[in-house]
Amino acid sequence: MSSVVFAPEVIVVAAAVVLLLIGRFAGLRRSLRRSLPPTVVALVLVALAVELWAGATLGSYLGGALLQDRFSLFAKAAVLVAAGIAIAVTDWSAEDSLTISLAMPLLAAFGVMVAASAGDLVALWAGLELAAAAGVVLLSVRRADLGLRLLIAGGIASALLLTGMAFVYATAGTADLQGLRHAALAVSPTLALAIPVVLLLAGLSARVTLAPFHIAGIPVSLGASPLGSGLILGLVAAAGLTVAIKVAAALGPVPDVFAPYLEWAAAAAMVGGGAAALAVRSPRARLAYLAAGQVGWVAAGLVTHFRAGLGGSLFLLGAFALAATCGPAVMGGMDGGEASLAGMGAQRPARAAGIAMAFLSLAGAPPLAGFFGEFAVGAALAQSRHFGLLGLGLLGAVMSLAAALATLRVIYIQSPLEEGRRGSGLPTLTRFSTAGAVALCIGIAGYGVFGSPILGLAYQGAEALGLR
Amino acid sequence: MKFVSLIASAIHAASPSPTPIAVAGAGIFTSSLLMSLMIWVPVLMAAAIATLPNPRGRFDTLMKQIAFFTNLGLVFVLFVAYNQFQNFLPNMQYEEKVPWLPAIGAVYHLGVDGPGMVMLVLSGLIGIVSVLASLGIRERVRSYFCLLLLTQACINGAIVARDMFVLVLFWGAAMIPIALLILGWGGPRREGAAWRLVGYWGLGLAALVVAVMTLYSATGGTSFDMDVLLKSTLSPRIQLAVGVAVIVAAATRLPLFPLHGWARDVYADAPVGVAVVVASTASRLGAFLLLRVLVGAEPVAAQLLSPLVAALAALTVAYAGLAVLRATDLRQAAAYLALVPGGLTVLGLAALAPLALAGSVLSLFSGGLAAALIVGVCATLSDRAQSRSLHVLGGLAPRMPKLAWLMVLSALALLGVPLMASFLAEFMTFFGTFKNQPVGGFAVAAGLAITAIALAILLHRVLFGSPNPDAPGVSDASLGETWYLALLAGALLWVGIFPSGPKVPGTDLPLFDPGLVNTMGAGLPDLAAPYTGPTQ
Amino acid sequence: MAASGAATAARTGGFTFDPASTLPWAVPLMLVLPLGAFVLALSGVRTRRSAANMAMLGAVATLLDTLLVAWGLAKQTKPFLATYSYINLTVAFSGPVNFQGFVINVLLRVDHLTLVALLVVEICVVGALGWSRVMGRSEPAAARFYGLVSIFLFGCAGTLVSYDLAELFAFWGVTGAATYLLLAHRWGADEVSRSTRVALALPFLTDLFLLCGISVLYSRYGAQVLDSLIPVLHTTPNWTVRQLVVASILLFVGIAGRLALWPLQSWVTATAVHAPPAASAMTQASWSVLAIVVLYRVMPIFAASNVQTLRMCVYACAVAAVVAPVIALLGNEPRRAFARIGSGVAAVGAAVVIHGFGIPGSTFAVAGIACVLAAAPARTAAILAVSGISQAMRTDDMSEMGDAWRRMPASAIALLISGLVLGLSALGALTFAVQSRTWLGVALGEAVLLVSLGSLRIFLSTAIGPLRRRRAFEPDRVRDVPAASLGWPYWMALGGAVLAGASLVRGWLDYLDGNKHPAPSSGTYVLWLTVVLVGFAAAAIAYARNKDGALRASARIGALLGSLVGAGIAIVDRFVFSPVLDITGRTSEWVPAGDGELGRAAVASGRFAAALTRAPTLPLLILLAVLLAVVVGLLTPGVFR
Repeated sequence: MSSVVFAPEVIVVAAAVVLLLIGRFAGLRRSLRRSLPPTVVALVLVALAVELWAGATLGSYLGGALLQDRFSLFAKAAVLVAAGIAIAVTDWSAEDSLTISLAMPLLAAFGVMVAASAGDLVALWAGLELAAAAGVVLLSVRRADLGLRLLIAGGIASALLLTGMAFVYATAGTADLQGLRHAALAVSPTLALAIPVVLLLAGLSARVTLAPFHIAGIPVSLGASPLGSGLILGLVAAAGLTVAIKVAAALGPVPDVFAPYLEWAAAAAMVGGGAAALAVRSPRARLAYLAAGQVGWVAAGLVTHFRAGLGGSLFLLGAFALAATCGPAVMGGMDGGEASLAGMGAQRPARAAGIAMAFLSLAGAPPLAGFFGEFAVGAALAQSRHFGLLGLGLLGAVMSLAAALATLRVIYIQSPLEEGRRGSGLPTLTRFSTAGAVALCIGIAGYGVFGSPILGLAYQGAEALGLR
Repeated sequence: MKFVSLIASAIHAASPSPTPIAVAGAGIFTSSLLMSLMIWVPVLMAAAIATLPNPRGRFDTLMKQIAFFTNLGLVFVLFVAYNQFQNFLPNMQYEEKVPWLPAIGAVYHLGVDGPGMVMLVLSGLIGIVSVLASLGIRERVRSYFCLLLLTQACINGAIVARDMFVLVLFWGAAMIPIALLILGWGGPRREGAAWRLVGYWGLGLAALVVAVMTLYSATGGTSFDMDVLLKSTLSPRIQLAVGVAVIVAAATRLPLFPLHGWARDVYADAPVGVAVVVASTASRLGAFLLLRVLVGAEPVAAQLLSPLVAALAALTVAYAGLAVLRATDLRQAAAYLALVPGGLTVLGLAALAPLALAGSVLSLFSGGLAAALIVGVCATLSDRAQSRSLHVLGGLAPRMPKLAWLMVLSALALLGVPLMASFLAEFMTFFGTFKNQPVGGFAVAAGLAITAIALAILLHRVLFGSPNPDAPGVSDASLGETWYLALLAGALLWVGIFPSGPKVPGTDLPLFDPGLVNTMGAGLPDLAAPYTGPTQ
Repeated sequence: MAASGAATAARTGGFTFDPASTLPWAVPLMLVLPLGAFVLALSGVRTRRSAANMAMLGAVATLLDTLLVAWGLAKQTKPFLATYSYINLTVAFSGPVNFQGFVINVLLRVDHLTLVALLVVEICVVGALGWSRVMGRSEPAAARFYGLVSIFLFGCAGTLVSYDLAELFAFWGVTGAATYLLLAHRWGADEVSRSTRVALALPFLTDLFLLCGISVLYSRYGAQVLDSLIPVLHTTPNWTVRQLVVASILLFVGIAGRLALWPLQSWVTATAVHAPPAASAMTQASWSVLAIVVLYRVMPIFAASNVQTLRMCVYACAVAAVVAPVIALLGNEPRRAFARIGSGVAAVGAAVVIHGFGIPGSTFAVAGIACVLAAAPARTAAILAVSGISQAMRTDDMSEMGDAWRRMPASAIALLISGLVLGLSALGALTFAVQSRTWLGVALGEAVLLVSLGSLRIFLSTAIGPLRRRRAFEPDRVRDVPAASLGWPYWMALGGAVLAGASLVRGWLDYLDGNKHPAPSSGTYVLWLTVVLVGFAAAAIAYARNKDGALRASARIGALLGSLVGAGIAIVDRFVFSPVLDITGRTSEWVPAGDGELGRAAVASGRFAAALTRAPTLPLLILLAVLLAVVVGLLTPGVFR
């Protein structure tokens, strides 16, 4: 049984490696080209099924470096669903390399899975870097310059992260997260602890595009292919947030060293994300800023540093990963600005519904996944008397909602443009991508409506991190 | 004391009998899902419309029919619920309670009491009216009626919600289809209208969430159920905080001065079918919230804030009247006039007297209809007259008698003239107001007088003045338009003439309608309990 | 529906008919008949003739039914009472018992006074209808007009039989709405709609006063039925004189508005010319009757407040009684003049009613009602007659009229009789109620003198003197009004004369209020009759000597007064309305501008946030990280502990 627990990781990595090998050595026949994405999605679904079946068994592996608990179960399941649907909805005519574009999300998902089941700081870092590397690769396929920029920015983020982790290790005397939590019970907030923690969080912020470090991720994500953009905005951010939740849980006993920073960062992200989404007109940029705003909500949940808050953050993380990863992918190669989406509601109804769902969910519009997550976080903020932060979050949510509505208007109200003026062609219509878009809609709409077990699992996940 | 005993016997006679009188329709159909049907049937039909193939608009008419018959079906369900409603029960009825998000204490809890049923009846009626008013829609029919049904569902959901989470969900969700409807099918200033709606309603949503969360944290953070949040005793400080937030939420929705910024553009530039929905049910939700949360649950805050609420009511009515005097656009004038009933409703809530509260509940219905009627009739009239400018429109009465009559009726309804439901509501409100809020009562009365002057001038300009030879050609209302406006006017007259429902001649047996006033009475005494004062 | 009523049929063998046994169905029928006529007119009637017939049928049937009820009540001193449940709502289970429920019953209470008042109203309506059938042929939308007349009659009947203040206000409002629609009947004419603006706004304002007055009473006593309310005015715990004073003043203003007392008469005078004459005539007359009867019924509330309040109301009425006929002398528009004269008579009646309740133990208040009852048909007759003359002479200016005595003798005689009746209508009231040596006696005497002068003046202006040729007007073509409409003003004037005569008889007052009244001395009769005759004589002398000069003077002073009023209105407009409207306008612009700015600010801040991404990423990353680390680290709570 113990070996089966990591079967999903194995499946995902193996699939990624095989894809890379196929891409490198075997030519891609038309039939193979057509059948590869469904095959990969099927594999991801198998991995998901195995995870849901075997992942319920708790355990500690590799000397505590990897843990299988409810937290990892939730995070892994969420990221597998997000990756699977993202691959399904992708418009492959807008991607540069089929195999790489299929492999990198799998690797990024693997990174998140590693981070999710990480038992110490090292595994956390490794998982995060793995996910980030996948993003760099996929970005570089289209824009080498941006890939380099992301690589260096990631390097700086990684350096900040490692510096912070090293100081934390030095303070606590252990890299093990449980040990860190126990050690934190004994320490009091000092400058020596506060600065490294902030550096650690700064590094994480750069990865998850949390303000003010969104400057690292968002511009490069706009230059990536649709799936690449989803990977950077969704999966990599999900990896960073997974790490952030675990670190926040470990440092829970000394909240003063991270809560004030996170409070400001979350407020800036929620308000700034909403405002920026309102200001920009390109759909992809708008989606990116909406995602940045929702990252702020996840961070706000961490501010509360107790079970309900982190549970809410985890619940929202699932919704975020789904919408932020699949949003750009379902939009396809719509790089021609807002006008490129005009009339899509009539021409590609399923895909248009998927885009609308992703935008609304990231904006926190009821009754979609994002709303339920943000509401859970809001409840936690209220319980911990962070009404100021809640108010700012709501302000940001209102602006996000307005921004999302602006895009919906283009999709459903504006008349279709003739191809010449559209700037980019409509996504190719395939049964598979349509099914993927429908799955995305069902996922986002059903996330909260059938949210009882999901939220319950998220709370169990928070409990698994030692929170009460 | 002889008089008191006389009154006592009258009250005894007035008190509902322990055995309800059988009414037509009672018991013919029972379902524990009546409230869910009111919400989810429109959603399902909207989904059906959204997925129905419609090559080159071939099935546009079918979609209109689906929307119409869906609303008709809802009215039937509502009729059953209305007739089976136990007027003598103080507690919630048709309750549905299913755990939703147990981890945070959110429950799928629905139910209605008297005031809720009044709102539902209004919503059902407006559902049909909005479809009839939208029969002229020609472009993107599928999207329009899909969004219209979703709006209907959200409003019904907000009315029957008994859990704050469910309330916030539907309250917020209603904004999205309405904004899209305005953006897609509105008039020349639809952009500003839609964004203002989103801005103000978003602010209101935020205020509501803050209020809900404050209640949630104050009650231990275990449940969002209204039975928990609204029945726990809170400290005055928290009650005050919740009260202020709720007033902001209600003022943006109803709307009340100075948070009325969206109303002018939305009522003036939304498509008619949407304007009537917003002017009636969607905006009445604000007062309904005030009644439920502030008046019904936070008596200390209600007492402390009642002067503020009364002032807002008076300012709203007076401002609306004065703004109409300055208006140069018929639909904008109607938009300002549509603010007046809300002011009256809120005055009754500020009075915190049982009868005034009853008046407010009734004016949720009558005010909603009156606002919808004035907005609808002015929109239809300006369409038919091919102009909205009050400099152009003139002397239309002889050339469009049907619309002229309906406009006069809407004016009389706004002013609360007898035989109209609004008269009864105004009457009860004023009767109850002068004990606790005499200044507010006089101020609102003065505002109504200004409104009367404004209406007189408006009617003079548009209907009874001399015709403008340079004005474009006019035509009277079409059959559909006449029907939807007549439905609104008819409902106002029906409740005005038979508030207790028609009786079988010579008996006290209700004839198919138990009477809106009797229905609204269920649960009202409980809402009023904190404000009755010592028994003499 | 449970109707309660006294019905005793004493059977003594053979066929005996006890009219009292008809009351349980005859009384509600007084409301049902006009309503039925309205519904029938609304549902089926299309042509002018059938609409007029339907309205006339309804009015006549109501009149006959009222006569039947009067017969039934003839031998009874107790009023007949019928109650129908309308609203029965429980609003609270605790608190004062009288505030736990809200009950409105349609409570029909018929006594002698009610019946006579109703008969007078019906006579006015029937007369106006009869006249309008022929003379109103040129009016547009006959079905609408006659339908509204039926609903107007329904409202009047309801108001008169109501003792529940809520019910009373409801019928009062229905009558008010019908009045507005009748006066605004001529759609499509600017001056008509301008004049009817005030007919909606001013009465609505005063109606609100009435509503507020009733509300103030209810909020204190929890009762709105007069029979239950009046006994507890001073026995309910925590009652205060202040509340009774406020309620009384509000009720007074509310009633004065419909009684058209100066300065609240403009809704009557403004519409006198532009509304259909029949509508104008019947609404003026009927409202005066309705309002004076309601005033009489609520007077116990006034009396329960304090003496100062009563005195203030009497002062107001006395001033109105003098000012209205004075204004009637200025200006040469005959229908306006009659409206003002009628307002003066109503003010005299109101003053007498209030004065009567101010003197404990006195019973002469009803004389004020008798005065208004007598004036009502005469007002209708006068307006209809003078309208006929105006139409025939194609002018509304008395200085252009004349010679009606020779060219339109029937109309002129009707005008003369109605003018005389108007002058004499207040005679009884003064005789029974007012002592000539008191200030009130002087004021009301002056009023009566001016009324008689003003009413005869109109007759003289139209009837004597030459009828001059004007552009497109040939005097020789002037003929009297058609015979079919000729009789109505006559009969109404005669009816008024009978009522005016009756108002001098003690038994009539006894019948009206069921009290015994002391007989006034014959000297008092003579004194007040002399005052009236002096008024007539003054008019006769002035117009016999120099009709044109008198009319020119009236016109000049009227114009001067008009310009003064105009200037006053302009000042109010300049210093009150305009600034308020300006503030409103600025607010209406400021609110959208303000929220627009907020939106723009949000977008601008968003642009800033988005612009950050264009900054050089790498140095900024490092800088931000270090800066944040230091700042946040230093600010961390407890770091410097």
